Amino acid sequence: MAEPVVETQKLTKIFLDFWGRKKKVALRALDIKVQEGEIFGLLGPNGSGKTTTIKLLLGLLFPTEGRATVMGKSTTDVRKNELIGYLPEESYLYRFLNAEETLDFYGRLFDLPASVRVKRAQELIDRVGLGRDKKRQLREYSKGMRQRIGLAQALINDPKLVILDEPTSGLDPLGARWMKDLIRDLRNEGKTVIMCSHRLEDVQDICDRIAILHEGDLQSYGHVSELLKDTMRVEMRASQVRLTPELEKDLREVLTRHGGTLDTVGNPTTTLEDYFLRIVEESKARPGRRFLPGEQSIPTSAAKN
Amino acid sequence: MATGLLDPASTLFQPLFAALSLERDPLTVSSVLNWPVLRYYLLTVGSVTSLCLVFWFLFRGWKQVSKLGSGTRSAFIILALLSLPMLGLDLFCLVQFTRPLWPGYDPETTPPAALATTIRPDWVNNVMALSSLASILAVALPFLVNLPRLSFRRIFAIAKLSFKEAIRKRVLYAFTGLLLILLFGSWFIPSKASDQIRTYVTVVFWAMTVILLMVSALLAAFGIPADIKSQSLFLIVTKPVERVEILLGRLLGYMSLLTLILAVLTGAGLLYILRGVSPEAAEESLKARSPVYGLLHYENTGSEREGDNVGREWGYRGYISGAAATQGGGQPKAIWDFNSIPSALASRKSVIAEFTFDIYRTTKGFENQGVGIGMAFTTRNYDAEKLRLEREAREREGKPALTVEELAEKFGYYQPAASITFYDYSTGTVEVPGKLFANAQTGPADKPPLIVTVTCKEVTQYVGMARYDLYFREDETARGADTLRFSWNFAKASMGLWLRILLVTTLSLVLSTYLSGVVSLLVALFIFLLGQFQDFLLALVLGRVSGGGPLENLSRLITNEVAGKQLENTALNNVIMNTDRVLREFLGGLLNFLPEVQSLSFTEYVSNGFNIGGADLAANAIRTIAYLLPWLLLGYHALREREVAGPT
Repeated sequence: MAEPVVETQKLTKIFLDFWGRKKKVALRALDIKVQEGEIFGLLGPNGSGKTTTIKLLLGLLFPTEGRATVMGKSTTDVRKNELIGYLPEESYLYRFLNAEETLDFYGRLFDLPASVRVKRAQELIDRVGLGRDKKRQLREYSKGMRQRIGLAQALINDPKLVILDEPTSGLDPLGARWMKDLIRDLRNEGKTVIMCSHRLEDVQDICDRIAILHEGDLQSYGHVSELLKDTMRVEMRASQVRLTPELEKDLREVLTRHGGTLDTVGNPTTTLEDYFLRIVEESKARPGRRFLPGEQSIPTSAAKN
Repeated sequence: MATGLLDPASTLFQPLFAALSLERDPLTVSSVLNWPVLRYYLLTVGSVTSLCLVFWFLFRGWKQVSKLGSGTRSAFIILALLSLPMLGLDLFCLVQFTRPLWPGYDPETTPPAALATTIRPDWVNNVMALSSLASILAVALPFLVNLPRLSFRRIFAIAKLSFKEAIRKRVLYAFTGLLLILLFGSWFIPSKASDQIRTYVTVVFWAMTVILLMVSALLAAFGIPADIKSQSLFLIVTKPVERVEILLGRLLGYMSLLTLILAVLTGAGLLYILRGVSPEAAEESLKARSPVYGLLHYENTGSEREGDNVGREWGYRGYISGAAATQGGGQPKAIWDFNSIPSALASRKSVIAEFTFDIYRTTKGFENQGVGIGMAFTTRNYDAEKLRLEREAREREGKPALTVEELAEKFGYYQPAASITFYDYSTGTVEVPGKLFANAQTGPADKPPLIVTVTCKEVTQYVGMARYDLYFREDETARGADTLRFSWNFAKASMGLWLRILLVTTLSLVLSTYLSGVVSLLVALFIFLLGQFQDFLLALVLGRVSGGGPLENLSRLITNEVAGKQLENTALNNVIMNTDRVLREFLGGLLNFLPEVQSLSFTEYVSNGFNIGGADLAANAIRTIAYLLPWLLLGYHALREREVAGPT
């Protein structure tokens, strides 16, 4: 098996107070491996140790015990950063710079020659859709725009490992969808992605494997599909048929014959996100259309069409 | 470190508060780049780095050492072992600081331990200096190992960012304050016509100094802490950036901006000063005199080293009277021996001698009337008897009297007039024939090449002089050249200010790698101010401050005792005075870590029309950079060892 991109062994972080006494155990003996080319999610409530883990991997914090390696190098070795792209939760970019200057600055930090910097900056600005705003200072940007330019700076060095801290936080559904698509694209390009998020549906959508942390302890760790599989329940979907009381009765009888019970039966619903995106697409396709009182909302099936 | 760059012995015995900033012998590069000075520097820096190694081992332990690469680890261990003698010396010095509590301690004869490297044998100091060097290298090893990885592109990127940050955050607005001073300053500055340049130079440099130093301290102290607070630093340290590149980049960025501003302000200030200069002011200060100083001693006063004391509180000048000191005694004289005369003066037609003496009157005299003095310039070849015989022979033979040039060239003698009148607070001038300097070039080696003798011609008055009150001008005195030389001199004074900006910026920046912005700012300015008052602190260490040390002064405040009165010999007072002595010993140690600030101020040179020597400037630059290097090393480790992120 190939060497993992990230590996932690008994990784522990304890924050001490001024007198050297234990203040908080932020992470306790974490053992995880992240393989090349996967999207790995770190989940957990606030204060569970997700961001601490990321900060330890990036060398922003030093481990109290244990060790972590990134691409075989110690986390304190700055050379590992040559292959890492990092997008923090908040966009901590310099707001007095514009998009071009921002990418040029971070490109210089990777020691990229001018020709490469200019070419890559232009490609990334186009990729994140900020072509028209590239000359504006970041202080004039919306949160979503800052998140986009933040992602562009994380990709300026064409990294092998991309670490994203709450990448969809604060984004509107369109922005969130764009971000998730981009993360999938990164995986398709062969990059490894580590992300932590509160938005469980985002993680479920895009992550291959996850680790769930709670109060600094690893609680669950594995493939999303495996972890979420409920072998004690059966889900079925049918088409070309209408739900009638007779059908429901027949279904109940069949299931009783097989020793089970029918819990629920009904019409499937789409996700609100899908519905919202379809509405927006519809609006774009029919400019001037607006919802009037008394009018019936577009049903899901109609919106699909 | 500051004291380390001077000869410790001369530092101990320099006259305290005696000299104005321009009244000192200019430094030369060789005076700061020689083994004793370098050795003192190594000992001072090494005393700290060896202690740092101990603390590092105590708090980080062997685990950190084992993380080093095998080659680096071996080098580190060897260097750390070589540092042990220096650590021993540290402990020895700490014990020495308690000497005032030992029996048989004599405060009058025992110099402070921290300043007294000269009391150790030379070979001990040499060994300790090498041990210090080992400890410095051990501390600098991580930096030295990473040195090949440093990228100028990254440093330049951070420098450019710092530059843009300052500009776009409208830091330049602070300098409009200076514009106000320049525009309206003259409304509030009363000055005599002859003081015009002196006053304007002082005001311009004062304003530039205050604004530039405050801006540099503010910029540098808040740069990194603001980045940490806003977490912008996260995105820099997660790139392949060495922490020292952040430090150097910030320093380069701030210094580039401040240098640019300083250059513009210097140009504007010069234009402001040079517009409409009055002839009196031009005569007084629109120059860049290169003085050649002699050594002063007295004759027929109380002592050869001191003139008469007229009771002035400031004992800088010694006085000579017009009357004989004792009945039947000789006329009191002030004599300058010029042991080194630049050979270029010998080829000149004339050389200007300038003097500024103080008048102490015992009778009222007349309004606007000066005091007469006698002046004689003689070389080592001057023989009064021979000259008398020559004059008599010429008189007998009816030959014309000797001309001034003949007297100077053949007999090494020049007397401008029987009595020269001079006035208080003005510079007197005498034109001395160049032939006299030609005569002084060769002659008996045991005599000073040139001697100037000054006597007071008025019986009821006293004339006061100090060593730097009389000098020859080595510079050419053409008017156009004077303006040009003044302008260049003004620029050189700005370079002195640049060194002070570098000092404050680096200190603030280094401190901000660990402390918050406000604390960094305050500590940097405090260190700078302590450097400014180094003379006073030295006087305090040597026990020359009236009223004693801090505890003694406190006791006097409480008991309402006057400063001059000896404290009573009670048990409590003994405890107070001995504690003060121990405190003074520690203060003596602290003195070594203060920057030389006073010698970086060249305003007095420019305002009084004295040339700032290039070598003096270079020597000061070397001292400042040498002082800052250990600080930069400290900043490197502070930034490297700290966790940039916090728990949240």
